[in-house]
Amino acid sequence: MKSSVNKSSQLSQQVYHTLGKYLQRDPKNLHPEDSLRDDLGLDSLQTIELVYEVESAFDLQIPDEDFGRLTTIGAVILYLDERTHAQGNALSDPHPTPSAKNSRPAPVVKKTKTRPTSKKSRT
Amino acid sequence: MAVRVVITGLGIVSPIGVGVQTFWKSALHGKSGITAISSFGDFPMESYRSRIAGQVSDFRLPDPSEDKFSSRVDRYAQFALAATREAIQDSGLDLEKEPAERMGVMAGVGMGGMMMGERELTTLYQSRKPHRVHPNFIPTITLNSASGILALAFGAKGPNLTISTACSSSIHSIGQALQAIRLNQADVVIASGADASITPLVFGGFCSLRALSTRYNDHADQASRPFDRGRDGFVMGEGAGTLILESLRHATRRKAKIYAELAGYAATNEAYHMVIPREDGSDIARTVSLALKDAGVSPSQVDYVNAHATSTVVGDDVEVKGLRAVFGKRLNTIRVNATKSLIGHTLGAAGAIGTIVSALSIQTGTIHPTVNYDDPDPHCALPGLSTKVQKKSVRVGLVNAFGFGSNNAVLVLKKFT
Repeated sequence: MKSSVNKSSQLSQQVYHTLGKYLQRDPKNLHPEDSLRDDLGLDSLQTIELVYEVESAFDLQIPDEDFGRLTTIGAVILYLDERTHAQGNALSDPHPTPSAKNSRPAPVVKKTKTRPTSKKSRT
Repeated sequence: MAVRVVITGLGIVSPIGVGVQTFWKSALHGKSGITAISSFGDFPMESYRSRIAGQVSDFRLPDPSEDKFSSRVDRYAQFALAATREAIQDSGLDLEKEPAERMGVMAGVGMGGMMMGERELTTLYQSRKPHRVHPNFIPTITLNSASGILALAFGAKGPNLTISTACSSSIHSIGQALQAIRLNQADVVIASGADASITPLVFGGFCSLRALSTRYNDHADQASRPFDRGRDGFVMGEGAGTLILESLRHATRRKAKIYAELAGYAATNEAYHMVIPREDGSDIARTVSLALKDAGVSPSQVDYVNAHATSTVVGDDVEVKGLRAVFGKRLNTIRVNATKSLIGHTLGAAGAIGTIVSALSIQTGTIHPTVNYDDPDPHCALPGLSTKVQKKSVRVGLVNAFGFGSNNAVLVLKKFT
């Protein structure tokens, strides 16, 4: 994915820092177009772990419905950019207000035609 | 010729009924046992992605004058005791006449005594008083606390094992019971499965794993929907199931009622991933084939499958791929149901409850409905699955269970003739 994200923004830097720490790689070697699965080699459980770290760093919850969007590093940054904007916070503020912390989209109750991309566990 | 093993007693604690009669009536009515979790004490429920579970709401501890054991163990083992008491009564076994050394216990447990575990951990970390850790903490949380207490309560001095293979635990406990009788280590084995760990930490853990349904928090009874296009994860449940297994010779000698023959068992591992199944279903197919071979039946004889069917997106897909690899087009004519659509995923109890369902289906020629199968997913189409009760004489049935740790287990039950 060719992303328009600004790698030098504070939000981007925090994402790269979080990803680099989780992946044990130098953030300089990570790029917006890197696919979490194909380039970074993450399976679905590792992707969930990575998102867990991102949630922790940005103090928010990412609902399952949004999970399928998080395919590349750039997509993660864009998603977080949208979320922080939607919550009325400055881009550079990684800590949204408590009232926004647990915001969830309204649940879809009846049938859906799309197949969620997470939930791969066997259980 | 191998020793034949039969099922002579059943007992159950489930979110749709305590006791086999209540459970079966509810199952045939397609009653859902999935409800909202009212609270985890002071924990904010809105912080949990999933807020629903298959909860046992009508379980009462027996009077201590009748049962001195239940008050000493965690909820899951209390369930196991209650299910086993019912199963033994149902079997008509006279424990005073049975040689204790020839009676074994095999228990399947996924999580174990997490209620006391979490409570004591919290207390210790808050109080910082290690000398106040409860003396019964260790005996309660060791995973074999259920198999141990069952032996004490019912005087079973034969082989006693606890098998913990996550969601397939009690298929293995039943399978190992079969093997113990075949090897002449016991005449009778109490084969049980139990779990009750809808606790703040365990439930939070499954939420974090993104394994649970989150889309139906306000419509709990719609959340567990195996093979439906709208499925979005499993629903955690709690419960216990116990089966009394006996050598045919032993059962015949005492003129026992026989529900079904336990004819085959297979256990394999995919050596693939801790929580993700191999996507082509090949190892599931291999497990089914091995179980059928062990039972001495061919795929063409199978008329019923109690599917693992947790309602996860990939898990249900892969199970059907595996079944289709074994049965081909004939899968379209095999009756299938998903007990978890009614009660959620009871983890260590799931295999035992699925086996009880299969035994009842063989005995009654009735297959309970699978609820919420409103919009069949074409990726895992199962024409033999219905939202209505199906009448079908079942001669050979399969019970599937697959668990974390890449493990698979399948049982084969036959109509006893």
